[in-house]
Amino acid sequence: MSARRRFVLLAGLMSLATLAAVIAAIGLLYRVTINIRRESLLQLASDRASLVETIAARSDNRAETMEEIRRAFQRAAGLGETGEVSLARREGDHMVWLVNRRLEGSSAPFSLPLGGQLAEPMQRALRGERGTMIGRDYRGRTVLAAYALAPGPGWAVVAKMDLAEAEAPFWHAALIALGLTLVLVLFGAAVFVDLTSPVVKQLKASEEKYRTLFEQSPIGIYRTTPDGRILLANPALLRMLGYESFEELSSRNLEETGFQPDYPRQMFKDALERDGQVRGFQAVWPKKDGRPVFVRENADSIRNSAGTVLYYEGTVEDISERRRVEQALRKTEERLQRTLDTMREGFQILDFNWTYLYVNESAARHGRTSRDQLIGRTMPEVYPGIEDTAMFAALRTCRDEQEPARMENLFTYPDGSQAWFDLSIQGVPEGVFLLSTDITDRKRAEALLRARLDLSELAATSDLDTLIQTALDGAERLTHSEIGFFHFVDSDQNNLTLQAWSTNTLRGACQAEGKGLHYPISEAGVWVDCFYARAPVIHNDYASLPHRKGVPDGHAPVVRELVVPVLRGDLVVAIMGVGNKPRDYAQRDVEVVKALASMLMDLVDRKRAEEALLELNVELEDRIRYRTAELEAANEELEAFAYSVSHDLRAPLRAIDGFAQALLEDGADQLDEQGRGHLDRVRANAQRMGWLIDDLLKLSRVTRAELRPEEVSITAVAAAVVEELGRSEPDRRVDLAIADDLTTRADPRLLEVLLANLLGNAWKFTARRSVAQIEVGATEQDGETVYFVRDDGAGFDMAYSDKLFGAFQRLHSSTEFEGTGIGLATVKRIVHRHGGRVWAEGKVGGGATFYFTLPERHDRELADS
Amino acid sequence: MANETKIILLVEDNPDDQQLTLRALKRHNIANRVIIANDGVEALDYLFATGDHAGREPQALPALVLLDLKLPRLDGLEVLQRIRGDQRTSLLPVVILTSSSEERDLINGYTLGANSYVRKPVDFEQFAKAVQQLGLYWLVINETPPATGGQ
Repeated sequence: MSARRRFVLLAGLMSLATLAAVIAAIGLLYRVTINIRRESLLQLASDRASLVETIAARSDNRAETMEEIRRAFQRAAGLGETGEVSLARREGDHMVWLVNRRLEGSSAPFSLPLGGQLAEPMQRALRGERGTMIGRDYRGRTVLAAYALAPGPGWAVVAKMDLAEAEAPFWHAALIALGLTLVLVLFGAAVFVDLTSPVVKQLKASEEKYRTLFEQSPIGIYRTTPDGRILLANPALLRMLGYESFEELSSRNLEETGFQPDYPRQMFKDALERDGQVRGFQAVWPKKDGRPVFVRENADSIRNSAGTVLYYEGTVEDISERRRVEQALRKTEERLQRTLDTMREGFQILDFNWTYLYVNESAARHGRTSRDQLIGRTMPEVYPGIEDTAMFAALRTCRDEQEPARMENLFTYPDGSQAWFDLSIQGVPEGVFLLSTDITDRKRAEALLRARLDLSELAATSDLDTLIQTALDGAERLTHSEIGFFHFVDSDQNNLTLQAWSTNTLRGACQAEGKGLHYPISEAGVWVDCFYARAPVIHNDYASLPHRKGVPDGHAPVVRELVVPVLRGDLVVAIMGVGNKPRDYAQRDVEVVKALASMLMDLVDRKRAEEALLELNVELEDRIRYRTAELEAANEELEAFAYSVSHDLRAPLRAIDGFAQALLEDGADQLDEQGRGHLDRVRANAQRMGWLIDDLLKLSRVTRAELRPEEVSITAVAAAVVEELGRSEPDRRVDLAIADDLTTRADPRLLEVLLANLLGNAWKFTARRSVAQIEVGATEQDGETVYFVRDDGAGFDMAYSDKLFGAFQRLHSSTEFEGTGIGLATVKRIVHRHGGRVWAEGKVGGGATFYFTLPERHDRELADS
Repeated sequence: MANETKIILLVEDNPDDQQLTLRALKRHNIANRVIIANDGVEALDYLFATGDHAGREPQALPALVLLDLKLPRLDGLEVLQRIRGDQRTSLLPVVILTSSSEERDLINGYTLGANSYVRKPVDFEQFAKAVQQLGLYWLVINETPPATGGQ
């Protein structure tokens, strides 16, 4: 029921009640009014009766008496307009009115029969009764009457008035009262409505609000009954559970089997029964499609006044997403934790008072302690004296000035051992964060590398003794030893040569001399165990060794030692040892000594090889210098010779030829045929000599010329050469076949000379062919390009093929074919200068083929390599 | 045939070659006056009117110098260098006429400003032909540069 309707109803009821009260009051008023009238009428009637009694008793004169009574009655007043007092007497069965105001003047006395309907009061009075009543008067009108009997005369008195008049004042007052009441009620109702309307509105708004909240809330809201009925569910809840409508959801019962398989409803109900409410109750609800939804609900049980639970009301929150996020967060956190713990780097967070707040596994390991030992304690507690270290100073600076720091720190443990850490220090809100990386191995490796670098740098400039000394000092320093020694082992494996003590050994610990001392291995101390073991040997308990021998005089006592053999194949070539490290030697010390000893021995070997090589080089250089000088001299000679030949050898020939010609011209008449013939021969020979010289010069030029290889087309050069030949002998018929695109890398001028010679030969030796065949081409042989020049000319006997390429070697007489015998020598020279080979095939009368190769590698490059 | 007032300076130490050259010229009717210098010093003396030629009118330069390379005292290339280095003779036509065809001679000759390089063949016929062609070209066909001598 709405508030408004309630309020309207309330207002109505109140109005009715008011009216009822007013009506009751009016009723009461009515009765009082009537009663007052009755009293006064009765009084009047009684008074008149007494009066009548009195008058009748006083006089017997009836008429007189009657007159007196009449007057007395007429005097009666206060009965309003309708009021009258009448007197009647009984006469027989009639009553006869003696006095009646209204009946005055009538001729006959008014009478009415007794026992009739009319004038009941009079009848009562005549019967001797006294009282009041409402009844009909003699006229039949309803009147309020009082009646009494004057017993003396037996006359009855009735005082009466019309009931209507008697009631009139009442009705009047009642009407006014009623009117006033109505006005008041209406006014009151208006005031009430006016007063309640904001409340109503407010209620209405609040209801609206609640509805909106119910409809719009992202949180599910429900009302269910303990027996599992669903009374209410808001859209959010429907959505949450995947239902289309409330009807669909409410058709199910929460108690239904399988509806909430994993939902501990009993627990929920128990809690509600016990506490009246549940808060933050988490459960998995199945959605409509069966998928789970993680929820958290708050619920209250609503009871009636008897304490019986009527229904549950609650809110439901879908926490699937939150759960997922939380789970992911937890996973991430676990992963982070795991990662932090498995990292090689140590993480620790110290608060502002140096108390360990967080330490990962590596950090605890770096400190050689456990997390439990650290957390809650301060750094100075755990590592007394740490306040004085540079690291702590950096921590303090970071804490006080928020100054981050990065440093490599050599950390000393309480037992005196040390480790290198790369530290990164920075401020965090809680205090100071310290990241540590164990770089001990790296540092050691660096130190070893540096020692090796020093050694190798030194190797270039220093002698063997310095190298050994340096290596030994390095090994000693890196292993924190106090002594060090180095021995060569003779190749017979029987004797040792003490090569060096470390600088430190010589300076303090040991006064013993002994460099270059030879002694048999069999007499050496326990340190040669490594010789027999062919492996490094550590003696950390030297004093207890049974087979130890004394040390040389002045030698410091040996406490611990580490000795490493250097092997070359099966032979031990050297032994390096260090001793008296303050703590026990460990495997990493072995590595250091081994690395340095091995490197030292490599350097020793190299040094020795270098020395040998140097000697050899010096000798070789001497030899080369000598040879070069020889060669240069020869070249110069050849150059001078060729120059001289070019200039001087030809001049006499020209004179011979010239003057022979002069003689032929000037003394022609004095010469006979034979004389002229002789002079012709002189001239011919002089000219042939000239060619020989020219060809020799060409050959020499081929030898002397600088080689300038470039890409060159054999096809083009060959074609040009043949064209030139054709021009000199235009009548020759030659069938020429030059392969296309023959290119190679060669000196173009020399290539031209080469082809000019070969093609010149082909041209020359095919002179007797009517149509000569000349071919230039290339073939592949064993991956090598082989060029050839082929002709079908006179050919040659293969038996003499080895003589073909010698200078001045000719296989044909000059009368057969002209020539100096230098052409093929020149060809060979050119091919050889290009790093190639040249050979020939042929048979007498069957043509000849000349093959040659021109590899990429030329003699200049050969000379360079 | 050639303008016979033009002088040829033949720088040649070999008397055989001198004679053969003269013979070749004569054979081809080149009748110009030929001055012979037996070595480089003589050649320069003539050209610059010094030494034995001190009295010579220095303005009168030869129309052509035939220059051998291998010469006593001062060799042909040095002579050529001096000729080209002197303003008076810098435009003088100089033809190297020599036995050698060595590459370095050719290169040096042209580098120093030779107008031509002719190798003396062994065969006299060819030699004579070469001399004739030289004379024809340098004395007849070729226009000499205007005289630049005199300061």
